Amino acid sequence: MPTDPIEIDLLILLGSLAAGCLGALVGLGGGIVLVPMLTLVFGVEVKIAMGASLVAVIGTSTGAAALRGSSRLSNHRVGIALELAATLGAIAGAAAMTLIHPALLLVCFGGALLLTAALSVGRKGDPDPSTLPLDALAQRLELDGPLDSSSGEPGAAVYHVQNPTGGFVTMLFAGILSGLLGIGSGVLKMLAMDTFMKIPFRVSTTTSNFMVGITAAASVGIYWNHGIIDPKVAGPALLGIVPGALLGSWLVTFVPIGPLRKLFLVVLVAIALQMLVKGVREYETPDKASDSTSVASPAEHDAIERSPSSEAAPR
Amino acid sequence: MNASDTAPRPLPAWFAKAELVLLRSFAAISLLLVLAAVAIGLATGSNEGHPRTLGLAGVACMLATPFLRLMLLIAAFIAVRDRLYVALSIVILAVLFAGLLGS
Repeated sequence: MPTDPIEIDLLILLGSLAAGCLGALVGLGGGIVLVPMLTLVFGVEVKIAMGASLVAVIGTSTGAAALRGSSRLSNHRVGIALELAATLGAIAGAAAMTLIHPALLLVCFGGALLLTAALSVGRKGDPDPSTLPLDALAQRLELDGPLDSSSGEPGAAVYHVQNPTGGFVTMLFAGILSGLLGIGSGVLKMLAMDTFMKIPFRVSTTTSNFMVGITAAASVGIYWNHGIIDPKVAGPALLGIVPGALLGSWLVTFVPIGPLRKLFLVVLVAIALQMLVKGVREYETPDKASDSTSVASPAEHDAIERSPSSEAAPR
Repeated sequence: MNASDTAPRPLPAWFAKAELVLLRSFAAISLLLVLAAVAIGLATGSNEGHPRTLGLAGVACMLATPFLRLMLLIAAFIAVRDRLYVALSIVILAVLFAGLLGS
């Protein structure tokens, strides 16, 4: 492993490019790949890695919307109604993150990876929107949207949003996970909109992309104020993950996604187990854990991260 | 046709264009600043000093984007006189600022 800071920056940049590309290809987002990569491969402290991941999540959300524009397909009313829960959850999650032992965060992250893998197995197609009943709360909140994204004309066919309460509760949980672990929680957001609320898949994906950035922004302030966002890690990660995600969303039309997704889910489970084992080991040996995963000031962090002893410890 | 089968009021047409301009300009500025930080770091062999400041500015620029995007959305809801969503969006913006200003 190189000790030269510039060499490490370049490796983080290239790793983030690959993480962004892979995350976009399999539709799970970059954060879920970036944090394990930074902690397990580069030996970055877990909280610093989570801070970099949050910045990268905002970057991918912004980059994807900047490329294609979100407005035509996104249902902004659904996004805002659900963001109320997600942002409150994110603030609570980020506040909890500052109090939780870093080794326990590794365990939580391993659990979140397993949850993500489980939720990603199988997805039913969109139901026929005309067969869905009207939901009183969704009607009151004006959550229904036009089936034809180019049409907002009165009288245009609409899809009927179902179960907003279930979506709201899931979003609260997604927000907590996002703030606690520095991920976008896009999989949970998709679960809420696509599965529980029966929103058409393409509307769910663009609305989820809009929401992921806002949720991450809610907790990023707490990370920033605690000195957890280190530009030396977050900068190269941002620079790599945005073009990586754009490349992945372009490649998605050429690459056979089915086998790749299955392989990735197996790898995700293996990474989850590795994070769980690392977390448990570091929790049982607190001295070592505090060396490798505690929050330090950027200067302290730099010293820890670049020192030869820290290279061996976290991996 | 039943009133409930009608799509809600669409956002104004300018919103999509303004959002694209906002996102593209902020993403470009942010990535250029971070790229400059890495490039200067490579040239000087150190990522302290100017590279660190530039990297921080690039990251901050990216972090500002969701806040501005939400403000733009509030303006769009105001334009279509959707008071409920103006109120909800303002509450979310307040939560974002609470996270940023509180610790």
